[in-house]
Amino acid sequence: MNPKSILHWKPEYTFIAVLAFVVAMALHPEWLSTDVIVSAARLSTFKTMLISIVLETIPFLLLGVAVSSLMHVYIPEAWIRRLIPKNPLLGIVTASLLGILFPVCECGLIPVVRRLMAKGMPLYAGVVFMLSGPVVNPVVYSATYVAFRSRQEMVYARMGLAVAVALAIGLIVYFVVKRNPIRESRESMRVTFNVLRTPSRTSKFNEAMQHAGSEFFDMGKYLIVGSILAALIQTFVPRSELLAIGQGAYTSHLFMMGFAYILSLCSTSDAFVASSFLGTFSASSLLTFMVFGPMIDMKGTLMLLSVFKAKFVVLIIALVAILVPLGSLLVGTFIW
Amino acid sequence: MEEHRPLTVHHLIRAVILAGFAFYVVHLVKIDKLQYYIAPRMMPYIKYSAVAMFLLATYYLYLALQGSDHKHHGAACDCGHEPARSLPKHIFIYGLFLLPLLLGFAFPDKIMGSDAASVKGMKLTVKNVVQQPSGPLPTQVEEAVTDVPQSVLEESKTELPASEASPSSELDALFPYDEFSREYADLGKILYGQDVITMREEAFLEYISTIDLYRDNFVGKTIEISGFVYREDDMAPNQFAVSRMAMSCCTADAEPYGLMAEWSQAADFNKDTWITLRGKLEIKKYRDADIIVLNADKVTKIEAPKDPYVYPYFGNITELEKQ
Repeated sequence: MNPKSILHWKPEYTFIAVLAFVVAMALHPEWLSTDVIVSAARLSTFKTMLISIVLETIPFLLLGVAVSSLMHVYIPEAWIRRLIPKNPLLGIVTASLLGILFPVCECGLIPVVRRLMAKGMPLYAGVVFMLSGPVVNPVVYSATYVAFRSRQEMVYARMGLAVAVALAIGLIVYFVVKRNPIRESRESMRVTFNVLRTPSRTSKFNEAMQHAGSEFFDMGKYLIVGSILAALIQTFVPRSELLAIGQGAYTSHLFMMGFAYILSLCSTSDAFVASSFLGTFSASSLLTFMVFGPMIDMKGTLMLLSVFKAKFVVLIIALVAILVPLGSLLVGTFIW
Repeated sequence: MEEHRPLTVHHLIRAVILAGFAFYVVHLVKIDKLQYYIAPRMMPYIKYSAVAMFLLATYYLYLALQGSDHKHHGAACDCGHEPARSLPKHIFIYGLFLLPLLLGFAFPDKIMGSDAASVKGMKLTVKNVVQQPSGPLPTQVEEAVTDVPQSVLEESKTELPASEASPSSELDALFPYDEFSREYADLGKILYGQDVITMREEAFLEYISTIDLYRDNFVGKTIEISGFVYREDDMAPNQFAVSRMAMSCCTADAEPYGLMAEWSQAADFNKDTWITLRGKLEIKKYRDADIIVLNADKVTKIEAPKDPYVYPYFGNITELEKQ
């Protein structure tokens, strides 16, 4: 066994542990509580949650996979290069607004960004698109607008802060990250694509289908692990106990980030959850929730790890976790 | 041959999983339970997805049947995610995809009720969710008047004690609003004139918000509400909440909202029983906060609605009453 395959084995243990836990629970729901009736209700709640989360993410995943596969087969690399201006600053600004053209949340966006980068989109632009895309798009705008009917300033603050944070991280990545953080197996995409481009129309279609299928399973497995974890938390961790943890001026921001991370909500619906906390939490901590969650959450982290090396993922998470609450606090203090 | 057989097996398994998901969606649509899992506005997308997954499944089946003919694809289009791992890993990964399917088919479809509500935390007051406006903005008063149907103004005229001020400004004084709570105020003015105020499920959350925001105006008014019975441990024996799950996309983002009710025969109703309750609105203390409580006159047991959840209302919230 070579070192690489040993490395590849590592994260699977977590997967096995999660599955074992779920199976154990399914077989022995009474382990979770002495009250069997409560546990049976819990299991049925877990089922409802898991099915619901999976059904909700499948369309976005399929859309992302379809766009990615069509791009892979039909769009020449030169187009992508032209889409993003050469000037890094302009490139970052353009990337931060691409979400307006492609309104999906991160489940659909990550396969697309991965493909764009394989086709020559610069790393910094890809990262900016990936971070801002799930927030800065028309669907999320209208959902936030409806959820905060009575607090419209939240809508603009959310969009603005997401762009600002994505721009800042794009610049940091541009200046700091010199080594290629894309996982090796992914890099082979570019090579095979150039060498083995097939000319006929049917084999192009075959290639696109093959691709869509492979990518569906490749990304889908991370999505399902994330969905299982999110469903477990939604079913077994009472919110009231969580809420007791942090409501201070600063701790509330930390708490809201953790909360957004484990809930792993879709950016199109998290505004409604945020608005239900308006009475108990400060508006600026809810802003943290609504900007941090779409950028980084449990589901997304797993998907990011499939694209980037772990070190780079940690860097991005750290930057988002520092910049988002900082930005929210600034907005809360100086603008509102 | 040894090289291709595993690939054929993979293709078959993938075809089965994709077809399984597509079939599960069709199954949910057929038994009319899809709305237990996702909001109506998401439904078209999952239906399209079922078609896409079915096509992809057919394609995998075709690949599996073709077998070795497509050997070159395994190499050419392997972009780092074609199967090339150990057996337990494969079993594990495909097991992940099968888990939701197994749960889906093996366990009955249940409406999210008290159990989920207790984990998520029942909200018995929404007053905090909406900013309490400080007072009417003088520039908007005239505009607001034109929005109130004449009938309401006349009704409210009879109800309000005679005073020198005109009925409309009287109403405006009762329902102060700012730029952002204007829709709630408009709805409040309409509801204020009604004999029985029905919490319409199309805009359940918006109606509850309106009542809660202008709670003082609605004390003593009769309110009718339908939902499931929910109890907290510290509620009195004659208390329960009439609740609905408000959902925007999927059950993960669902939030339980309810109105506290008091009824002498409350014990007759188990949790998760669906009821329609009519009662007079009061303000009472619960857990150190003033909340609105319905003093029930009449409680009827009903069938659980076909679509048990409520959703955010995207239109202007007064239009439901104007119809």
